[in-house]
Amino acid sequence: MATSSYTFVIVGKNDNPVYELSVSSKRDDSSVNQQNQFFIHAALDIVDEEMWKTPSMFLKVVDKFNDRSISAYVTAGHMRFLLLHDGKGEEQVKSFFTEVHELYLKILLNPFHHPNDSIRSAAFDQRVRNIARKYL
Amino acid sequence: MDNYHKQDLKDFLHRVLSPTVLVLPTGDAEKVARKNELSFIDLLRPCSLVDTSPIAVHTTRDQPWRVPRMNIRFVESGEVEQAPEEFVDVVLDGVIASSASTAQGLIPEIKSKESAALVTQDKTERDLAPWFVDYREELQRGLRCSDHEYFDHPIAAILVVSSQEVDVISKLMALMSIDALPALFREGLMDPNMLKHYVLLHDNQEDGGARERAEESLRLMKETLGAPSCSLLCINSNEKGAAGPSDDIWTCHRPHAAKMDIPPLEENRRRGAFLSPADCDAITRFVSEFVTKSLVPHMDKRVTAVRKGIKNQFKSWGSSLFGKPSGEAGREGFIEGSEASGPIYLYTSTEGQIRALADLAFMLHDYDLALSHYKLVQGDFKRDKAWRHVAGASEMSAICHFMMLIRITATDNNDLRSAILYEQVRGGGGAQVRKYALHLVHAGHRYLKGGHKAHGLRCYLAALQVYETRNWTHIDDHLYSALAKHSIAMHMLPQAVSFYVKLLGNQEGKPAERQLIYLRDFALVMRQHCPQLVISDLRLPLIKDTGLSICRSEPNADEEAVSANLSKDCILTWSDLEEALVDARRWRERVRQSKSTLQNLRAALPEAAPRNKRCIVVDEETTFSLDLVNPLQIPLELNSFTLEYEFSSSSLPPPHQDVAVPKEVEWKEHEEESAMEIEQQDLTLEPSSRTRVSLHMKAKKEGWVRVKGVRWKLVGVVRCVHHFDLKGKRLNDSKARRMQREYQRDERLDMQCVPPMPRLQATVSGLPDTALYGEIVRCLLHVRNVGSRAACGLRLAVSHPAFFSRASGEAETVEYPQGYLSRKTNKHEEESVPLHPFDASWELEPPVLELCWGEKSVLEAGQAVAIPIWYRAHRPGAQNFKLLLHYTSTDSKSAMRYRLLRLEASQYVLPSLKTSVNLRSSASDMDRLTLALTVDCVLNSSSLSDNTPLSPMHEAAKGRSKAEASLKLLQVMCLSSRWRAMPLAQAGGTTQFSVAGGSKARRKHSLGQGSRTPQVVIYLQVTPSGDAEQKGMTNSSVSFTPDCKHMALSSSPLTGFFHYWEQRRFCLIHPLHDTRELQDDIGTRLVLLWSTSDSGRMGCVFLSCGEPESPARPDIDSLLYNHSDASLQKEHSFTRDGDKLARLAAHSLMEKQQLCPLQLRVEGPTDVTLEACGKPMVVPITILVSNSGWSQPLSISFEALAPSEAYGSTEGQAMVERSWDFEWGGCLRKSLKLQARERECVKLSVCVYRPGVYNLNRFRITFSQLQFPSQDFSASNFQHLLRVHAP
Repeated sequence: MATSSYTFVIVGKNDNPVYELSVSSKRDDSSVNQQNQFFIHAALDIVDEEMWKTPSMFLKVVDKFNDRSISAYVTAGHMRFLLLHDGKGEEQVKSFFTEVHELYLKILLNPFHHPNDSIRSAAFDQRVRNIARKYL
Repeated sequence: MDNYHKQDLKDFLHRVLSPTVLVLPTGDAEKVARKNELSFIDLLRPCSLVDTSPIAVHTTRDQPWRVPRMNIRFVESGEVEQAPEEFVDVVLDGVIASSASTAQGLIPEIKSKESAALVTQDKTERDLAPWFVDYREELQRGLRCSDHEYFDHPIAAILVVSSQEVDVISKLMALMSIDALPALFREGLMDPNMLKHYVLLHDNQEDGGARERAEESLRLMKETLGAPSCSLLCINSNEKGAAGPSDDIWTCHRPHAAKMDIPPLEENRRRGAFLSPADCDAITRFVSEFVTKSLVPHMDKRVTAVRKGIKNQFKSWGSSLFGKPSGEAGREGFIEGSEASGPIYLYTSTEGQIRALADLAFMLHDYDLALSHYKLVQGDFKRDKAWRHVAGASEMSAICHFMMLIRITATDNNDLRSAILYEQVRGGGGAQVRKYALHLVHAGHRYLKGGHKAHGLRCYLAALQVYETRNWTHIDDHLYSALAKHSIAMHMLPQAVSFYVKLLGNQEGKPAERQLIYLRDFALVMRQHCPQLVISDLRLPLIKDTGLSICRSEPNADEEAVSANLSKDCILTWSDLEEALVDARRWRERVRQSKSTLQNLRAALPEAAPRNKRCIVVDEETTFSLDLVNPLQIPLELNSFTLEYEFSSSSLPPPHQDVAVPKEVEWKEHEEESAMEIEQQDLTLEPSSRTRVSLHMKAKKEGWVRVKGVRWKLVGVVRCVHHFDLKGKRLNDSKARRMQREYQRDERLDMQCVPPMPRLQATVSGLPDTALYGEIVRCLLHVRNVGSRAACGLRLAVSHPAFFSRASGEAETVEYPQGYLSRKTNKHEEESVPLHPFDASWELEPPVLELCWGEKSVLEAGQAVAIPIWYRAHRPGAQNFKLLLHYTSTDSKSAMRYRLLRLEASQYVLPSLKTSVNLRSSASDMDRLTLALTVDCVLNSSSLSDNTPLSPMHEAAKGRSKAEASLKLLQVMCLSSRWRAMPLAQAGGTTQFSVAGGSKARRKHSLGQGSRTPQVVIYLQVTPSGDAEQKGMTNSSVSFTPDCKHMALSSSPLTGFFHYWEQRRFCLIHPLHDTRELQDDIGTRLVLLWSTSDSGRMGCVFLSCGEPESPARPDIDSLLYNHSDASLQKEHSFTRDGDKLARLAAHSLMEKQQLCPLQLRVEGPTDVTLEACGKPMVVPITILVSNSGWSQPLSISFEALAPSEAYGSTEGQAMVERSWDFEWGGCLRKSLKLQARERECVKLSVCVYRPGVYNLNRFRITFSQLQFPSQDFSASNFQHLLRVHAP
């Protein structure tokens, strides 16, 4: 199966990306990255509205751009996880988010890490990739 | 969508979706209007908004209602046709292009939700985007008369004839004929049977009888055509040249397309010149009457009529549908069209009529009716696959629902339209700021593609406000690059450059190709447009200001951090040493207060003596080093990288600007004859690397220089400047400063250029890498003056004052060590040493050695000198020495007070001898003492294993220790004010200790490493020197060498170190004791001299031992330096921390030892002969008991024991048989009270019966003291033997 393309971003409180992961089956094209960033940023509006309507952290698909969907997940600290994908199953996306959330909590345990600082840990990156490979 | 926008949209829809009235003037009528430079339709247009509230409208409802206002669209016959698309595009382009200048200033300050709400509050569409309003109108106009829309179908026609016409009726008929109407009528798309209104236009300027003729014509018209549909309109009442309405109210109501081709006015002509206000009123009245009396009732009636007709039609159509399905082809007014365009519905078709009905209802604000009919007709259209009609109807139903949703498709190939729509979709900001930003970017992108750069930039700039500072790197890249590129095209150079700077600063970790393109573009732009511009905030390369280091020929405290990592064990820093040199007062105070709190210390410290300013000496080089980081993936080329400075030849430092004023940066090339000589470098930085660059600077003139930053030419073109922003110390002395994070001003970059000074270079030679503990070495300090002035006043501050001592002048001529050993005739030599007064303030003295040589101690320029310094390895372990050489110029007026030179040395000191001394009272003589000096040679590899860090130095040390495995003892010196030492054998007299080791056989002076017993015990006997009251000390020395070589304590190498050791020992112990007592008696000091077996290296060990009567005083030095605990050695240093430790250790030792203060000696004969066998003999015995304690009194009870009592409890009486025992005689019990240092004697007699050897230890002494409550004196190892010979 050809690897699917998706973009996962953790967005901080100032709408700043804290962590970005972009996997594309096509060759790395910066214009695609650019577009994805635009879309994900725009979807934040919907996320901010949706998250007050449901008690669960997982917000399902919040927005669509062309044929691509954006699923969102909001942690208790209001960090927003957004995944731009081309129509993955809801369950898969939810499991992905839940596992990444657990991983993210470990990063938060670091007393020197400020929640709004970007995450540069290579181990975190590798693990997120593994989780993504598992579910997406 | 807020109310404003809703209302705005509503108004727009009412304006646009309004009844169309066709205006058909005859040629003559047009001519009349043309007199005013206006067409007839122009006259009507300003009055198109009509108040229709007086008339009630019914349509199909039961209750009549009123339409408040109605807009009438007047169209000429030429406008009743589809406009070609290209033409419309040109017109729209024109609209947008003409608003470009207004667009520039209209960037809403929307960054977040809150700001969005603020900005859009109370703003109409026209405030926010005026061009959009125009565009909307024009677009709507451009779309008129499309075959699927019905709104533009004229509902009425106004036919205008001039009153000058002869046959008015026939002219009107001609106008009304189907051939005269526009093509769409002839094709049957539009209904020619519309409401007709006839106007007779009369020119008031026509003279005589014209008016009557007009009245006549009107009467005729009314008769023929019906009175209500005819009216007379009189214009041009103004006399020629009279002032008409001053404002041109007509042209602004023209459609944009018509505006474009207005012929320019001729000189002295103006529009509406002949129209009097009365004329204008007449026109308004005419239009109003026409609408209220004819048009609206007509529309109302028509809705009712058409509806009825449709109902009937449906009935028949429905039956025909069900009856014969094939009959559909014969539908009235339905033309089958091609696949692309879809079918065409003529006005006679049912669908056309329904649609027209719906439109009419809509215009009359009957939305329910309109909606139901739109929905009705939608289904029909859908069945016919007339998609455009479906869309039109759907759109109208949507409008009816007041839900105007604009469908945007990215595939729309009209860039302008997409752009405009995208921009409108943003919803004017509102809550969805991020969506808004995305739409703005889309709009901007489309604008730019469509060539509307000003609007594109505006959109991008507005979007940038939302995205900026949020670190969406790809987004930023896109925005910056687009903005930079198109700003150039718009000739907005400063803006373009600032965007390029931001773009290039955001390139970390991006693909190399892209970086290369951006960099190349930037260089190209700079080269073409502004080669002179200096850029001060380009972060290529990144320069870390904190990494800046300034290396002057003169060391300064700033560079402390660089070398600080070396000296872990030495707490003294270079600046401490500098203080010791130039500010002894402050140094003393600092040492004195070292145990107090920081606050007290600050209060007590005197004002610091003036130090050198940051000086650079003319003609001496200063090096600036800084780190350059290339964040890009491509190599970065920097040309003429150099320092930016400011020079003033005044003697005062340049003033500081408190606020960094963004001054215009200017670019000056370094001139030949400038005050400074600064190196320029061409560099190429490797991709993503850090490079350390050093720039050299040389002052040429005196004055002040301020280094401001660095500058370089990026890729040889772009002039860049970076100004250092350095902060000084953080100020935190008050709360306000702590909160505001204030920093001291950094003055490192302000430097005074001072006239030439002497400049010394120095090295230390002779200092071994590894030394043995106690080793004394003569090293040489080679000093050379490379400056142009003479230097004097050389002083050396040392971090380890115990290790270094000043050498006197003759030291350089005498060979060391042989020259320092003088031959003596006697093995046992005595000399008198003056008693040094001890001074507790000694330890406050700064560790400074004055360096002298020759007569004046002046070093001329170019001269070199070697100054000897004594070195003694004071303690084992790794040592890092800091030596700070201080010198001044002979010229007393020099701007620099002094100069400093730093020297560093490190070495490892191996342990060599481990010594301990034990002094005890001689058993034979109360006045004599026996001194046992135990010497351990620890010079082997095992001693090194204690030191866990095994550095290369250790390895070398190991190898060396093997090579020089043994040490020779040369001499021991004993210093005391009361005692003197001599070898035990020479003492003569008693031989009581001969068995124990007084013999020379065990006195082995060469200590072998491999031998089983490396320990040597030297016994000396110590006798009181003649006069106890004599001031000063006696040095009695015992030599072990066959040639009796001695080294004098009072001469050069030893005296300095001994003095230091003694003073220091005093300072360490004096807080524990009363000073007076110490002055009185400081105990006995021993100096043990040793050398290596080849006599090449020599050293000494200093020892001390207390008086026998004060055994409680420990030997601190042996505790510290001979202690096996390596950690203690390491911790100790000459600073006060070390002192504290030593004192603690000494104290705890005393506590633990609990030495017995009681001393005992038995005096009496040792050999007696029985007078006769069996006859008892009485021998008198005196037992001396003394309290050797320091302060406490002792209460003692003495008890002589009977044999039975004694052997029951005591042990080790092997030598004396039980039956052979003796009896005590005399006073057998006695209680004594002894004050400190008091002695008492107990006189007893011993009665013996038989010959033999008796041990007289058969008594019990119990003593009690505060410290040792009631103890038995353990006398088991004490023996006094009495030998009784047979007669």
